[in-house]
This record gives sequence, C-alpha cells and structure tokens, in this order.
Amino acid sequence: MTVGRTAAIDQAESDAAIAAFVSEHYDRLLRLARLVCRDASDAADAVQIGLEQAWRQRATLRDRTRVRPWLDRIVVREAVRISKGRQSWLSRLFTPRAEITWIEPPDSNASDPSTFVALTAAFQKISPEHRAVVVLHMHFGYTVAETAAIVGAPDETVRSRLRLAKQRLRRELEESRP
Amino acid sequence: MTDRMGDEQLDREIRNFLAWQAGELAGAPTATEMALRISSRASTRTIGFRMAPRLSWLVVLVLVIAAIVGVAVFGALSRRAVDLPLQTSYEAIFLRHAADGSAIVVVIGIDAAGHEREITRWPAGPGRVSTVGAVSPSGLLLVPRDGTGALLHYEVVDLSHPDAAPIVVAGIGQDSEQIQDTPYYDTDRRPATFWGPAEQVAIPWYDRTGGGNSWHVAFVDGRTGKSTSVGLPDNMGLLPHWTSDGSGILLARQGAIAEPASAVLRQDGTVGDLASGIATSVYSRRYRSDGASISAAGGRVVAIYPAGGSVPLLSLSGIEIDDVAWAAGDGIWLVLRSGVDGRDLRIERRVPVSALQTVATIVDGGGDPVGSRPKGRFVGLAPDDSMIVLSLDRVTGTADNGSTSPVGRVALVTLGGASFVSEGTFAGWLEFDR
Repeated sequence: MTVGRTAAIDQAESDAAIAAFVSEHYDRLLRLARLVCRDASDAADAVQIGLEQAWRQRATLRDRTRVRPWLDRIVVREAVRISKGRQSWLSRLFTPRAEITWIEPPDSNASDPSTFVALTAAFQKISPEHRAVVVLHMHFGYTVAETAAIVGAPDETVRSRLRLAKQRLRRELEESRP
Repeated sequence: MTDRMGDEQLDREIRNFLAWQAGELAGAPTATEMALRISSRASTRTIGFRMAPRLSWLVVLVLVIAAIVGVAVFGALSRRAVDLPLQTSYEAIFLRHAADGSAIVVVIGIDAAGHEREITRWPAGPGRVSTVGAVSPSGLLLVPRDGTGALLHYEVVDLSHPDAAPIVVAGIGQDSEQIQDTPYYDTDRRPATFWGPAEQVAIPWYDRTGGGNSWHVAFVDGRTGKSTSVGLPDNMGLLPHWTSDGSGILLARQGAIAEPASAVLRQDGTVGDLASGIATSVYSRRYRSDGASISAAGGRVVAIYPAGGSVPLLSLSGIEIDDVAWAAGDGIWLVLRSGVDGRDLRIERRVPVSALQTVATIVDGGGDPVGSRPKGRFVGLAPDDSMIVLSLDRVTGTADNGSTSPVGRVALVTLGGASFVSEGTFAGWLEFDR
C-alpha cells in the first residue's frame, strides 16, 4: 500500500514536472519546427520527439542557463530530419507542383498578401537546412555563431546558407512583382 | 528598369513573413496534450530489482503458465467474430429513367470505389414520378409525382423498405408543369428540396392557382409527411441550408447569395437572425457552420464573415476558378480551369495546414456547341469529403461574358482521384456503416 502510494505520488510529481517543462518551451519550439517543416503536423511530431529526447537526457545538461539553445538544437535537427524525409525523390516525384498558394494573413495591414504568397512559395523551394538557418537567425535572433552551434555546422557554412537563401527569396519575390 | 529591392526591405519582408507563418499552427496539439503524450511515453520505464533464485524460478513458472493460458484464450477468441468499430461511409444516390425508355425511375447508389448498385425501382403509377429527388442520409427519398390533376404532390419512400407504401406529403398546391425530367431549381442539377436535421425536409414551391406567383416553403416531417407551409418574405431568396438546430432555413437578400446568410426563416413563418449556426449541407457548401461564406472573384478566394469583414484565403494568378466550396476541416474545394486554353478542369482540395492536393483532372473531350468548354460546379459534397459530385455543363465565351449550356452530365469524383461520369440526377448521400 505504501509502495503503491509512493509510486503514484512519484508519477504525479513526474507528470507535473513534464507539464511544466512542456508548458515553458512548447510554444516557441512549435513555432520553430513549424517554420522549418512548413506543416503543423510534422512540426508537432518534431517537437514531441525532441521534447521526449530532451526530457530523458536532461541530466546531461550541465549549464541550466543553456536550456533554450539546447532544446532548439534538438528540435531543429529533428525538424530538418523529418522535413528532408518528406522531400525524398519519391515524394517529390508524386507531389503535385503547387501552382497556387494558400494565404491567410492575420492582419491585412501588415503586409501585402501577394508578398506572403510569393514568400510562401519561395520558402518551400529552399532546403530544410537553409530554412533552419534563416529561421534561427532572422526570426529567433541567434547570431551566426550561435546558429552554427545549433545546426552543427561551421560559421562559414551558415553564412553561405543565409546568403544563398536570401538570394533565392529575393529572386522569387522580385519575379512575383509586376 | 526594375527597382532592386534593398537589403533592409528584403529583411523586413522576410521577418514579417516568418512572424506570420510561425503562427500558422492550426491542427497542432495544445501544450497540455503534448505534455500528456510525453508523460505517457516517459512513464514506460524499466524497473530493476533483485530476486531470490527460488523466487525467480517461481516467477518464470507463473509466466510460462500465463503464456500457455494466454495462447489458448487468444486461439479461442480468434475463432469468434470480432466486433470491429463501425466506420461511416457514403453512397452517392442518383435517379435515372430505366434504360427501356419506360417511365420507371431507377434509384442507383454508387460508392467511393465506383461500384454501382440498383437500390429500387419506382413503378409507374397514377401520374409520373420525376427524377428530381432528394435523399436524406438515413435513406428517406423525397420525389415529386405528377398527380392526376393539374397539381403535383410529393412522396417519401424509405430506401431501406422500398416496398412499403410511400408517405404522401399533402398541402402543396404546385403546378405540375414545373416537374419535368430536367431540374427546375437551377442548372446545376441540384435537388430543389433539401433535408435538414432530424429528418426534416424543406420544399420550396409557388402557387399559380391564385393568379399570382407567391413563393412558399413547406417544412415537412419526413417520417410522417406532416407539413406546414409558410410564405417566403419579399425581396429575400432562400438558400438550401438548414440551421444546425433545425429551427428553420437560411435566407439571403435577393441577388446576394455570395454574402453571408442574413436571416433565418423559422418554421412558424417568422424571420429572425441566425443564432445557432448552420447545418452541414450535402449539396452546395458555400456557407460554413459559423455562417461565413466563401466566394471567388478576380482570381481571389475570400471568406466573408457575418459580422462583417473578409479574409483572403487564396490568390491565383492567371487561373480561372469555376467554383469554390468549403471542405471539411475548414479547407476549400476548387474547380479550376487548366490545360490548353483552359479547356480541362482540375479539382483541388486544400485543408489547413497541408499541401495542396490535386484530386482529379477532367480532360475536355469536346462537345457542343463548337468552341465551348466544360464548366464544373459543385453539386454535392459527401459529409466526409470522400466524394464530390460535379455538374458538367458547357460554356462559351469568357467567365464574365459567356453563356452556359446545360448538358445534364454529372461526374462523381472520389478523394482517391477516381472519377465516373454518371447519368441521371444527383439526389444526395446515403449513409451506411461498414
């Protein structure tokens, strides 16, 4: 009876700790994964796998102040892995070319919807690795060096990916405009 | 010369875009759901403890016995029929005249695999049965019959008991001349009558016997045939949609069906505001359950909300849209012109947040009049989006300045991409469990 109660209490405490852990980081990680994966379901999968992995390995994190980039690294790598899996040659062969693009801008005053259309299409054309560095650097505010540490690539590679991705986005955006 | 976009402007555009797209999270689980998922998986941990050798052997023995008993029980159970959970599916119901040219009407069901079955035949009786009918998901089929006099009446047949005597709906004084073998409500071959919650059906009709042309709507209990007719308010048009609570049907200002439904015609004849939401329609889905309408103009698809305001959903460049409808799960269905000179039709489906899906392409095989092309319109959409029915008319001229020639063909398209051109008139979807 005592053993059973103790186990139940342990389980409840563990559940509460997981809930607090998820609650603290979930929104940010989901947005991060969503931008890399381009699909909310894939993003949720990436975050779930990443958070499970992080929870099991939390004892290995020595510097508690580094939890955010640590989690971002786990999740962004998982998101790239899932996204690349979706873009295998087989899936590309059978995926219809998107000639039209879905837009639902939250605020019609924020930007011209046609810009969102063009950028949505352009963002789909760059690789998951390039999307990851654009998102980490331009949306989450990581420096090039921090981005490099998260994606596990040299600084120069990250700079190159940023430059190429922005060139591609610029070209698509300019071509879309009359 | 094209102005080259500055780096700062490009960065600003990209940041705005990323901020917007990061919020596109419809369909993702909540933080609580995610925590539960992770908790359930994290709690599957290995527990190790020491055990005395004798106890170990005892545990092994117990496990072996349990395994033997388990195999025996499983073997016994596997011989019995297993009750799998039922899954709801749909058949598209069409009404046709018999191939022998007689006045007999044949009721056909076609499933998502394209298998066709004859459900029943309507024998010729006094007067003539029309092929314009509407079927409820439970299998009540409402058809008009040209009576012995100048007026028609409606009959309800339960397709699960087709031999039983039909229920006659009385109290509708409509001219028989309106019942022909072609639909009289619209050119899209949609039934004039439409079923709603709790097996109620609405029948719009007008009475010329008094020399006027006043419109009425009969609210009918499909199980008993009991009907109550109320007048349709002036300057209002009815929409083939019921309120979700079954209290009435939707009205729109005449000529404004692209706008959100503005009022409800209740069964007592009073007109009020839409308060309860809109029941899912098995025919056109221009209106969503919250009252938002979907429309397309100038290459843009927009949602228009009852409270005012609109949200762009889709922007197309150089592609003409024949028709749009809401898809299940807040997505959209599209009929687009494609191919050489836009002569083919492409059926697209998009649900947030996933890739655009080309469900089917209907290639133009030519037809009259010369120079015309097919025009597709959504006639019916299965509640689970597994199948859609399109009318295939032919249009000449441009979208803004053309003419449509009804040709009476309908295509059944499944979500899997198969399409079948069918003869007859679409009557609705029959629900069944499998």
